[in-house]
Amino acid sequence: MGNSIEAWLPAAYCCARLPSDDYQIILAETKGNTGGSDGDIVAKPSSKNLHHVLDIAEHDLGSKAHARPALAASIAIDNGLHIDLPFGHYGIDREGIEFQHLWKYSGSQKPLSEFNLALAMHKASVFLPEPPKGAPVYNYGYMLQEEGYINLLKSKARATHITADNITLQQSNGAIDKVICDGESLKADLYIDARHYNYAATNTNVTYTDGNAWQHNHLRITGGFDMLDHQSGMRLHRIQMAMERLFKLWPDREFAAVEIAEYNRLEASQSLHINDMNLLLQQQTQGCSNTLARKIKLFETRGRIAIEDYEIYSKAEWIAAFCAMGINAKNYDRLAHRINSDTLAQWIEQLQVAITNVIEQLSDKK
Amino acid sequence: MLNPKSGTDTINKDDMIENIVIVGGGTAGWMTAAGLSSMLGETGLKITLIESEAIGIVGVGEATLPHIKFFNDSIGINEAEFMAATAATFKLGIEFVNWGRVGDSYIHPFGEFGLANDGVGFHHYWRSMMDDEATGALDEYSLPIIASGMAKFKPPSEDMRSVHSTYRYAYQFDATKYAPFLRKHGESRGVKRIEGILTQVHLHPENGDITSVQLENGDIIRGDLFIDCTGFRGLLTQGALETGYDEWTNYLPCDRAVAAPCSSHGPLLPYTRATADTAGWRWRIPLQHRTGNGHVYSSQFISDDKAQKALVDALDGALLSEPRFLRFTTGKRKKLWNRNCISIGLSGGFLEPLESTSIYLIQEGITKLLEYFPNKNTLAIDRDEYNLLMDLEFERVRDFLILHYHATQRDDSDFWNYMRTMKIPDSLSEKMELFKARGRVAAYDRGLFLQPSWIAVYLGQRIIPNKWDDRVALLPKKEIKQHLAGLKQLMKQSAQQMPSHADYIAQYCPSKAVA
Ligand SMILES: Cc1cc2nc3c(=O)[nH]c(=O)nc-3n(C[C@H](O)[C@H](O)[C@H](O)COP(=O)(O)OP(=O)(O)OC[C@H]3O[C@@H](n4cnc5c(N)ncnc54)[C@H](O)[C@@H]3O)c2cc1C
Repeated sequence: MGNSIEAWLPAAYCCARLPSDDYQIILAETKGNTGGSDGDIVAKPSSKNLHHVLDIAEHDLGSKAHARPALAASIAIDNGLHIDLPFGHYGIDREGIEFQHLWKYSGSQKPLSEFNLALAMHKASVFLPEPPKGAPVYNYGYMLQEEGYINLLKSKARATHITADNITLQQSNGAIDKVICDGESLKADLYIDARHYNYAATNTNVTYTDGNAWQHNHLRITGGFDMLDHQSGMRLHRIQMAMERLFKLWPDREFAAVEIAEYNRLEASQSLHINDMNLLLQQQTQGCSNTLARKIKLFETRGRIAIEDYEIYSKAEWIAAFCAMGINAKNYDRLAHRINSDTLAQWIEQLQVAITNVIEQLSDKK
Repeated sequence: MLNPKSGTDTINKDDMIENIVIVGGGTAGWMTAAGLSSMLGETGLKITLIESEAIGIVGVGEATLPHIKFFNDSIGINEAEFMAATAATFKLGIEFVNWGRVGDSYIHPFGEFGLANDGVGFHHYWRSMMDDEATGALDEYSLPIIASGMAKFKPPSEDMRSVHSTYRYAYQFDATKYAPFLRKHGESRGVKRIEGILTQVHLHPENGDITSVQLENGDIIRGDLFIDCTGFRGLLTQGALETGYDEWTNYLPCDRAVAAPCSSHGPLLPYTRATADTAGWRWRIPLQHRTGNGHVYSSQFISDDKAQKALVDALDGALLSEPRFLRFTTGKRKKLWNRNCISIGLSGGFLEPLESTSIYLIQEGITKLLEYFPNKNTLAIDRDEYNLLMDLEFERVRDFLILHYHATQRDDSDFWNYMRTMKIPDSLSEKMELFKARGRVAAYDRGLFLQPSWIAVYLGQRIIPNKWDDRVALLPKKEIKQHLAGLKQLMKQSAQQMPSHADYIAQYCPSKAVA
């Protein structure tokens, strides 16, 4: 149920993963607004796995969803500020030591962001599908035009499709018995409720409590909590993760409570990380969760990134967010001292020059 | 000069940890010394290790997990040299005998079972066909298990398409030889060894940190950071800092062991055996020159004499030395890192040796110490993070161990009646319920044991899922049957083509101890 990416992506995903002879998928399409973005959505590099499952080739993304490669997600935050969360590493790790420590130790006068090739290319609006040999690595995602993307998903979802002005759910004992679409009853084994892409706007006669996205025979799919999710690529990522989780815990008609609990546990943990990042980006870190407070403390003291169970953001995304928020590492990892300081300073300088050269060459070709 | 360009960005010299003192020269002490000297020796860190030959080491701890290979590789140890020096053999898994029921046997392999199909785990297909006689045991779909049964060994392939890439291996080695081997390595990288008996620990009068340790001869050794590797004694963490200990004896009540080596007998097996007994279990660890044996038991349920007799009666070779008794309390230090002292090895805790996890936990302690290596002024933050992550490691290992005891149908002794019916941690009962429902393994990114390990123990101990993934039905039964038969054949043939474990060792890393 729904009409946005939150509905069409699960439909396409189920169609790709479940044989049509054995499973029927019905999409009850609601009317109205389909998204929360201004027409474009960000697909993180991990969406390549998703598109592989959906059998969507890159040229289709280009021609039908006007896909443009993206090397970072640009997020507008308050006060006209802009943050870019890169899809690539900061510099190059050496001898198992993360680059931010080496950079700090080297005393380089250049900002850390200049060592992120993905960020540099993003800022200069240039692109190479793969980083040149010996340069900091990255993986690209896309900017997609939302409407075109929905149409592409529709073409992949060989679902029976009905349209309704009004959808109501009939429940007994917490399970959905049927949905009524403009007076017509629909019965199914599993209901995916994606009518409300924006969780905050959820207002149905099924009560969802936080962390209980799956209850009995119905699963709620919410891509974006707010604008940040749309811009950071989390909207699509969330739906992708929800589908992957569902298929790992694929139910039968009895809907084992333990499997549902496991799904919700994973969902809750993922939401916690997303909330942490969003709070950080909104500078609402006062009284934040323990996980975020710990992350900030660890980064501030020595540039370390605490990675949790089911971490959803890359280290580079956290570094970018910390730096943009003015949270800088005061110190670095002692292991950096393994590398001779002169050698290191020279190497760091060469790396920066190499990155600048790549950008210049690509800009010249533009 | 540490940083020629920006003095403000460097670690202030005064803040730097310059002197580390490791007390204890067992496996934990020398692994720590070797690890730290390899990674930080060049950064000006001075490492001193104090040990006492008069006191000696615990001298058990012969079976390991695959992670140790990574540790050895990362500090530049040559595998064949190490194996020859410690009379080591390869280990592809652990055989558990009599655990689910008397007469049962299964292997927990260091590898995968079968091949997943479109996201549906292999064990679901196996479960769906389990009642068909032709299907056979799950073990028949694991290459390391089949190779173990044939006493064969070959290092895994790096070609991910090959069935030989589906397993990893660990070692079984002479516990008295690993520390001396690492000592050479550590000393060559600047570790200073002091022979002596520690008699006193001096604390800072204000902040309570350890400032120095004093030896029997009066020498005082100062340090910034102290590593307690004094084994069960915990002389620094408990003796001086009174850190406290979380006992897990209600879940893991075995508290004693009797160990006795015997001469080798039969083919050289590439696996450890753990045979459940009436009040604990017995280990059998084949080395190149002898077999290590022991009986881990609960003194609440059996006397020392009876435990010794059970061990000696079960030996398959001639007894080589007098049985030796050891006592322990399962659990862990309340804070593995307390003040400026980190407990690594038995001083930090012991969960009993059933899954060979102790040396792994030592390795984790060292890795995390390197990851969170402190300055004097960041100690508290690094310490909190270290403790948080290490506690999680210990707890997840604990749950996995409890599973072995609890998932049993044995009712032939008071010990098993207790284990079978005891209350287990919620974190474990939730995992078990999830598996029972439909063979799902709770997903965690952190923690030592991954999905195949849990599946091996659940199924090996008769926790058979009530159902399996619905999508299994998408493949016709006939096709599944064919697929299973083909896979079984492939595994068997691949194992047959491997050299014998004994031949491989004789050619690759023969120990002088054998001659
Ligand atoms: C029965 C049993 C079976 C085990 N099996 C396994 C297994 O299969 N796999 C596995 O991974 N682990 C196993 N373990 C655990 C393993 O033995 C230990 O983790 C490992 O040996 C490390 O021990 P350690 O170095 O902490 O302590 P120890 O070996 O006891 O070393 C302590 C050191 O401290 C020194 N010391 C003590 N007091 C003083 C003092 N006053 N002054 C100076 N020096 C002092 C000693 O001389 C010694 O060098 C087993 C343990 C037991 C009890």
